Amino acid sequence: MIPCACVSPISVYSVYNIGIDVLNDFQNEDEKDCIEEMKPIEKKQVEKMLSQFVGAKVYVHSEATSYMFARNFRIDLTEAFIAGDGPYRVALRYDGHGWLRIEGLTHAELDDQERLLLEGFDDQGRMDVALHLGKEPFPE
Amino acid sequence: MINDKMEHRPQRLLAVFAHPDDETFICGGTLAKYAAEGVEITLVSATRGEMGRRMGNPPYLNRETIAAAREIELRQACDHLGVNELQFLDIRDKTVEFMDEEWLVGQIEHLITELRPDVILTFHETLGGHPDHCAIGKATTEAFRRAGQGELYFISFGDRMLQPERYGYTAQDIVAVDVQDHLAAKLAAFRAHRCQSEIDAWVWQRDDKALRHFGRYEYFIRGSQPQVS
Repeated sequence: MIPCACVSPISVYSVYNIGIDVLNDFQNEDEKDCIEEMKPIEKKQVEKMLSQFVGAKVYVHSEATSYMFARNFRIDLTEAFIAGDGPYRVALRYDGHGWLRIEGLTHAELDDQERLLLEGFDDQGRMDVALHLGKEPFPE
Repeated sequence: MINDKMEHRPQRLLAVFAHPDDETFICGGTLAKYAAEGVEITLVSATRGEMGRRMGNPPYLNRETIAAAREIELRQACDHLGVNELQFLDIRDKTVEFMDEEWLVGQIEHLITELRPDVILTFHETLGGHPDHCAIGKATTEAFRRAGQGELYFISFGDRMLQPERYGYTAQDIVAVDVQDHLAAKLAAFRAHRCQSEIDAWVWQRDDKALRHFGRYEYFIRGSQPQVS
């Protein structure tokens, strides 16, 4: 659902769907923080999050949004890298012979199921790329 | 499109589309109009639109949260339009064309048989514009042919069907629905689909300004011969 520590998914939505005329002005900063799950990538922090998946069996969702997605391919992750100064590049080494590299990543979140969600958005909030890592399969 | 018939039960309309917002962005005025006239409307959305690019502006959804959010938005849009019932086929966005066709046709045929709609709306199977649109349109058309119930119309984008000959049709194949009195409901439904519509600044202008972006008519292609009542 919508992981959010302070209110339930339904109430998040009802909070920001009332008041059509003021939708672009969030009611207050607390709600705004709560709604905006994805945070701009902090490189060191993401590096640390990635390291929590190294050495494990990992389920991956990966997409170049307008062109392709792959959901729930399982890898033995052996190394993980993040590079660049923003937008960022992430590369995964897996199964002793595989690479996955993705660029254009801008936002990150470790969600309430401890899945690492890395995504890249353009300046209007449209998704360009995504790379998600989880220790359990994502919903099909 | 829907005529008064000598029947006692309310008229019924079944709309079978691919994504949350198809119903609003393409033919929201028509749905609102018939709902206001007492037509019972059932909307089927094949997917939850969970693979779209628009995640709010600035983005507040992600790939794992968007499905639930878009379902909620669609339910709110349905309330604005007056759609009575909403069903999902639970197909993953962008994969409708890869579903087993017999299964898909069977699902829709079952719905038609159960609901006995007077009118069925869906996408045209080649003019739909997106693979999911074309796939759900093709399956719904086949289900309509098998069920032999009601009249079929294909939705169309904007005022393209003012020039039907460009698409291999004639003026006789096209139905124009005057939705002028229902544009406010259409606008409210646009705004309900917030994560998709907030990138478009005009939607959030003052009502009178925003409403100028809508046409007075929505156009449909006849998918079946008119029935003589």
